Amino acid sequence: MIPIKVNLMDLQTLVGAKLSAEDVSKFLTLTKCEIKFVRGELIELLVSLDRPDLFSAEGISRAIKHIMGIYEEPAIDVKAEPVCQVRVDDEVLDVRPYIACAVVENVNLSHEALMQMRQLQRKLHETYCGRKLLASIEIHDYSLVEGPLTYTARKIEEITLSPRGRKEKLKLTEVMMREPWRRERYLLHGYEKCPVIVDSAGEVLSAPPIVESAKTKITPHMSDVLLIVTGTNDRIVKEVLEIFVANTLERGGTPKRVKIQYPDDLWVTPLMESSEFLIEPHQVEEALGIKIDSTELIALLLKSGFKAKIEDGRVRVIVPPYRIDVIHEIDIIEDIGIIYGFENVREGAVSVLNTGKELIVNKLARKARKIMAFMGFQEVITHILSNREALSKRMRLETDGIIEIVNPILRKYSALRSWLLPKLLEFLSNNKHAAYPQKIFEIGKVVTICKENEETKTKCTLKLAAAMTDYKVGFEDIQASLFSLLENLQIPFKLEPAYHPSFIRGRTAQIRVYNDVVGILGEIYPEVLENFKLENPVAAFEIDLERVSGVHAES
Amino acid sequence: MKNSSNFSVLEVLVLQKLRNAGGKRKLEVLARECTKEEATIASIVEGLAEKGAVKIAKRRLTIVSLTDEGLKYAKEGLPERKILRKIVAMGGKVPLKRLTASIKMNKQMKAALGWAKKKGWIEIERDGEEQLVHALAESPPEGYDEKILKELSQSSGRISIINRVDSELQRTLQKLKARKLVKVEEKTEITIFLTKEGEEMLKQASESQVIKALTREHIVEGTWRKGYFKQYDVTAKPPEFYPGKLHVLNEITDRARQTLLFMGFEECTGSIVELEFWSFDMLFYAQEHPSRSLSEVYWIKTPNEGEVVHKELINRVKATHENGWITGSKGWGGKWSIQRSKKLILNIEPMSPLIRYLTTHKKPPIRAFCILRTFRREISDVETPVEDMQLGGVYSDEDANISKLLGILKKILIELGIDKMKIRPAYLPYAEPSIEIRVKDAGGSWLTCAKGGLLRPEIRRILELEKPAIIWSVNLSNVALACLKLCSYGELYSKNLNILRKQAEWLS
Repeated sequence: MIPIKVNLMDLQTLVGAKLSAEDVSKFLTLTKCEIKFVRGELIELLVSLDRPDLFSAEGISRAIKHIMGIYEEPAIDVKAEPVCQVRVDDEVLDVRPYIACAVVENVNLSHEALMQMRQLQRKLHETYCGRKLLASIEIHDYSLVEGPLTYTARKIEEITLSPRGRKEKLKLTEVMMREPWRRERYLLHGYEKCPVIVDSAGEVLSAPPIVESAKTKITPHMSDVLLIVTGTNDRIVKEVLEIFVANTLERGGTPKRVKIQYPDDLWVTPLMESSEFLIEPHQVEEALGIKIDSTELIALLLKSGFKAKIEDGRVRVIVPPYRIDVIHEIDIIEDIGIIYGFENVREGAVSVLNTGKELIVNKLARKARKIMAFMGFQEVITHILSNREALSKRMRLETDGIIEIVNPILRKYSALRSWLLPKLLEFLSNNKHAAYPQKIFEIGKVVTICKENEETKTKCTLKLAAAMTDYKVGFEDIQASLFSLLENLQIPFKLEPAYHPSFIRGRTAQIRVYNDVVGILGEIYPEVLENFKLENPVAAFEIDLERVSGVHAES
Repeated sequence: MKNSSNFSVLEVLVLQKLRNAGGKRKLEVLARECTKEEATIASIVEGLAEKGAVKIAKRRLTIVSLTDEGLKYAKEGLPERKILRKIVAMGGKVPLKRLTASIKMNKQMKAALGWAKKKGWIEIERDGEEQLVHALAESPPEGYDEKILKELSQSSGRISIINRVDSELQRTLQKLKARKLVKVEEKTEITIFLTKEGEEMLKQASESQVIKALTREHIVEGTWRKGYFKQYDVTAKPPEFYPGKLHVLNEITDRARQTLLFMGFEECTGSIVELEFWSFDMLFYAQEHPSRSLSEVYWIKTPNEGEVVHKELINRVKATHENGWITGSKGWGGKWSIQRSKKLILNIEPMSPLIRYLTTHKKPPIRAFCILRTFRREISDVETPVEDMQLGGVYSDEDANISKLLGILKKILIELGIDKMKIRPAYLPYAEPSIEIRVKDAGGSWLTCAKGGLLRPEIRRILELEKPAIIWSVNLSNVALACLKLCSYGELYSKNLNILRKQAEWLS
């Protein structure tokens, strides 16, 4: 959910009716937004990610008007000639190849309207625009722009302009050293050139996606707006412009198209064209599990913001251009469900055909955890995220074969656990002051590199590990627990002497079930205890439940 | 006579040891015999004395012991006697210079000359420039100091105890002490005597044994009949005891599993590390979708990428993403990258195992579920990563719709002990229409516990499912928070053994 702020007075002006915060809240239950909190006139909303058209007050007011049945579509002259022209140079195609523009004339922009515009711009950047990587939006005062424009790319160190909020002209390299533009430097990482939009006088209007010029900055009550979207994804560039134009038009004004001349292509934007879908009433009934007739369906569609009419028993639905989330009939059916109210859908009963099937290994795990608890072990759940140091070095093991993460938040959670015992030792070291004896166990997944697994190159295994510690604890103590566990699970097994760096030599055994070694048992090597800052001896075992259940089932 | 049953086990032991020793023992010996600290036995004995079972005798002792030097002189004789013998051997009258030349004249010898003079054995007279040493006696009788040294060296070890100290002895000891030949210590010796009453009490106590722990012998030999049970303070706090306990989150997970099994679902499993192909592309997340970004999902560094083996699926996914293929969808436009789909990530939802399951199960009825740990790229309040226990499920049949989905989800949540819930529209890239169920948490806010919807037609077509399908996930970690009225993940995934040991059992 995306948080956005709207002003109640502004919303009233947009809707053209008196509304209380409660009214707004009531209407919003029929949309994919909800109120987070109300403070005086300020309302903070949460909007579903798939509805970018609702990321500003204009979109919200449009949705409310649809529900109230008072929405009037702004008049658009589809045949009008483009008012401006943009020429796209070859140079920019390798850097940021797409540009789409629109002009909205005679729009009355209040202070709040500007705030909403900037909010829409910011929220779109954060979500659909992939933090400006895929697309970025610029807002200019069209009366200050000398067309036609050229979209080209220049060497970064050769670009100069006065950035918004500053009077003096600066080199782009200098701008990129300063806040807030500094944060966006990474967008040009690896490029020698930066895209620029140049007016007919040769002046730089902007260097997308980094900075816009101070000259064409919009101010309240200004009347003509030029919207420019540049980016690397053509679909997103076009869609974002459609939303921006549609929402700006909610405050009045006349939209004008812009001609974009690419080296091998011609775009005229914005399209402002609706798309159409055909829906059959039974599709709605089947998807939602409700009974509905076509008249009711039309009413629900209108409230959802779609125009609709019946044609040969089917319903033709007109989807406005800003509804970029609608790409299939099913998306329209969802809106019908929302307006109908999912809470009004009767719950269907589940007929029981036969009993289900449990994974054999989970069946074994279920029994094992009960036996462990009966023997006095406390079950714990530790995190799967860990780090290389804890998993290997502290256990006196080699460090390879551990799965690491590109983007951990904390270094101590930068790898996946490859076995459970280090996690149990970590747990014990957090509890040195709890009453002794301490006996703990965990049943959980571990992940290791496995080249044989063609797809993920990794293997995920269910393991059981147990550890006990006291002033005095030894091999026999943990051995007794393991014997009791495996005997109760009726698994034939034997112990063999083994060597493992984490355990004391001569007090380490491997656990064999039929021909498979399934685990290890012994007294933890004192240096390992020191590494975990443990002061009492620890005896432990770890077994691979998947192996145990596998070989057990085979035999 | 006082009641013998008042005796503690230790008191009886002390009395027994005394009797065995013939009714008299020194405290230190008694303590050694009882293998206890002297202070412990001293307080026991005080108690016994109050009961009249023993008498205590104390006396002051002066303990004199030889130093190393003292021991040497005790054997060789005092140095002043040695000098006298020398003088006599040299004729009874010697110039001091000659005497000092004939013996090694160290500090001790100088002092010894002084002592001989003091004892009146010699005399030093002046003869002009020269000093003459005179022997006044040939072999003077043994002095008191020499007697003491001798006696000390004869008594075993080097310690001797002298009972009464008269003034002459006192003076001599002072002199020896000053000469660092002996060490003198003062001490109180405690001797305990068993009284007649004590003997009587012991007899009684032995006959009616105090029984602390009832043992096999007591029962088999019948001695418990003659015994007396020590009375315990039954209100006293017992030693701490912790039973083995199952973790509540796993209990809830297990119940959820049983519920699904009863409803006829088959369990499947999946990996924690998954290809973006199965986690996102197959679920119709656009490749630019914000949920796929580095800030939302953990990307795997090693191994750096996987492989998609299902070639036919790749083609269908590519076509559907780019232009909708034959699914009736518009698709996402742009180019779909196979490279991106090979990227390995940590699952954010329990869906990929179900999607993999659906590639081999296409005919209705299909009912499958999986339980999987999933990862949100967040850190909770206590600096622990957010890992959720999630239950994913899929149902494909003629009647797979929102109504059925609500039925299944409510059934699961009610089984887990949740009664108040709220249904809201949701956004799931793979399900449309989609809903979520929220539950009130301990803080009073609504927590999303389940979400799901009708599997998007694009995905259904790619998988060649014969019938529509509903797909959902239940966040069991959030269910646990709500059920147990816990406020944070830190409490649920507690690292504190005491909290786990005392955690209330979950009963649904």
